[in-house]
Amino acid sequence: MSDLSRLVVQGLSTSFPTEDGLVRSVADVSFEVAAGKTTALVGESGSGKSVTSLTLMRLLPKTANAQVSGAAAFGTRDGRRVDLLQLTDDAIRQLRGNELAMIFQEPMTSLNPVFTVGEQIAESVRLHKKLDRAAALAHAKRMLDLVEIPAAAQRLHEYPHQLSGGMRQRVMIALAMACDPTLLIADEPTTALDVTIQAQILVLMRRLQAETGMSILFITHNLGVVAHHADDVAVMYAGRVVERAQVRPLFATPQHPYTQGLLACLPGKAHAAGQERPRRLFAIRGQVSSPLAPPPGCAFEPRCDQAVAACTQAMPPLVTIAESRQARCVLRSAA
Amino acid sequence: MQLPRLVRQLLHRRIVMVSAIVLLAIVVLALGAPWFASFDPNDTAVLDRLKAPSAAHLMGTDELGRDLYARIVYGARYSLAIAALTALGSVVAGTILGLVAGFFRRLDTPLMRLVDAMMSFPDILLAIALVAILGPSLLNVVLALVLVYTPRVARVVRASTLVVRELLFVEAVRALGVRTSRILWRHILPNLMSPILVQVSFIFAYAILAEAGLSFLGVGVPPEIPTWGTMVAGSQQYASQAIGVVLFPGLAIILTALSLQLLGDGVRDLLDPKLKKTLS
Repeated sequence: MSDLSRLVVQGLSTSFPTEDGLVRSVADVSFEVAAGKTTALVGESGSGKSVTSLTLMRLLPKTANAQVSGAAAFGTRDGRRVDLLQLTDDAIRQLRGNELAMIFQEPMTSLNPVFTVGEQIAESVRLHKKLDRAAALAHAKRMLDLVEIPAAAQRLHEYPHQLSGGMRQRVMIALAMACDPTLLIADEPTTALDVTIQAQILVLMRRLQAETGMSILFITHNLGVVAHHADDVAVMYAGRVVERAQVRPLFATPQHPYTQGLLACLPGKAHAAGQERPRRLFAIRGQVSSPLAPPPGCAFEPRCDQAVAACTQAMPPLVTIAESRQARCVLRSAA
Repeated sequence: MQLPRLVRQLLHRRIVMVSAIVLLAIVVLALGAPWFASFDPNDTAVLDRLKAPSAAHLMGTDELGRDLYARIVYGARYSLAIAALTALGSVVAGTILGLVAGFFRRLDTPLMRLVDAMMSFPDILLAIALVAILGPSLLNVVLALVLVYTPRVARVVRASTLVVRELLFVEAVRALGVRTSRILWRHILPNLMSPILVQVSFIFAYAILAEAGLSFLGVGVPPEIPTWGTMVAGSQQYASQAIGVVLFPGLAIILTALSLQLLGDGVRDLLDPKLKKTLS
């Protein structure tokens, strides 16, 4: 574990008991988020991205009876290393909103409709920094200025329904940034926004990262966003990490058939490579196997065009194939 | 929504406006009873018994020659106080019960089965049984009515809590490190204010009727205390000689309960976004 990593997740598994049996939503997931860098967790719906983030924040509902194993070493502001999964409820609550912050997919419902945005930002500041009401509100105004909300002094006293979606997501970012967190978990922060607002929010997040040196765990299914904004990438499929790489090598030479398939699905990709423009967009055949009845071998084998006999035998391990490159595929051997 | 704007919108409808004025008048009468009534409500004058309304006795007198108008004005104090305390008590108890049952899933089933059991009794029977056990007194009537109406509030608050607790903002404030108790009181409760407000006005009306019913049946407020219910109950056998003894307290009950119901309807219509569109 290097001193430069803010968060090191090792062998994280989250399972939920259901009436039809145990569902492993996240299985043996490992990745790192370097200090001041962005790691993207990419995958389609149901691949376990959001469960991973909720597990790390310890926000899974108690009634879900989630079974969690693995380790998540987080470097705190005062230089200690704590395992997020082992902390007491009280200790993790003190980290949340303070050193660990999170922004959600739906800015429309992420704010409490009965309080002004100023009151909501001030609450977090009062809670963690023990400021009084006036000082907290002044801090809230500075935060709104920071996320480039025009007429911040006036917006401070407005209710969420008076703001547009992009404006609300800025408020959510201000809320998350209010206590100057060292790790921001962004769970599809731009999915609900239209494309121009999406770009503005991403630029804003990058500017804030450059100014504060925070790390970002960026959860998304949008490969375009990943290419522009991530430093490291972990691709997830059916609850497992299938490939880990730095962003450039991943897009240049994808190693796992699933990653290759995903990139081939992008409309501009084949065209840009100088090939003849395909008449139909590529699509990965089949669909994700049910988490209740996973295939015996590699989870992607039923959909893989490169599958060989060995694929059905056992789940291949995540092997290191080059420096800071790993893939979970029998076709790639260890370097 | 800001309160002044809410009140203005509420009073925009004529029927709600009239109800509000009637209620305000009744409250003012009750509060200023000594100024509005020239007789003591308990002064008896046997020679003046069962008189028809006249200049001296605006609504006539009852079987003991007590001034009916004075008794109604003073009775308003008791009737309104009982109803107000009942509404307050059952809303506080019901809100706590409903909030806890709705938010903590493990407590939901045991608490709600208890509420179901209480709701399976007919209201007035449960109240009669409770007063019979506790003994007739002003406070016991309030206590019995609070127990009767708490389950209604609990059901409504629980249902609304179940909706609000699933909203993303609850998870978002949890992600900010806010304590569970604070999430409940500071973040969820304020979002439940509209259904709670509607319940307050309806229970107020029910309680006026229920107190009258209990007193009429002789298991309510002790007869020496003038409430509208005890007045009807005490004088009913003289109704054929002077109809005023039951007519005027009966009218007071109807007028108050009706105004409260109409006001409650107005509040509900205003706060229910689904109905709001059809109104405007």
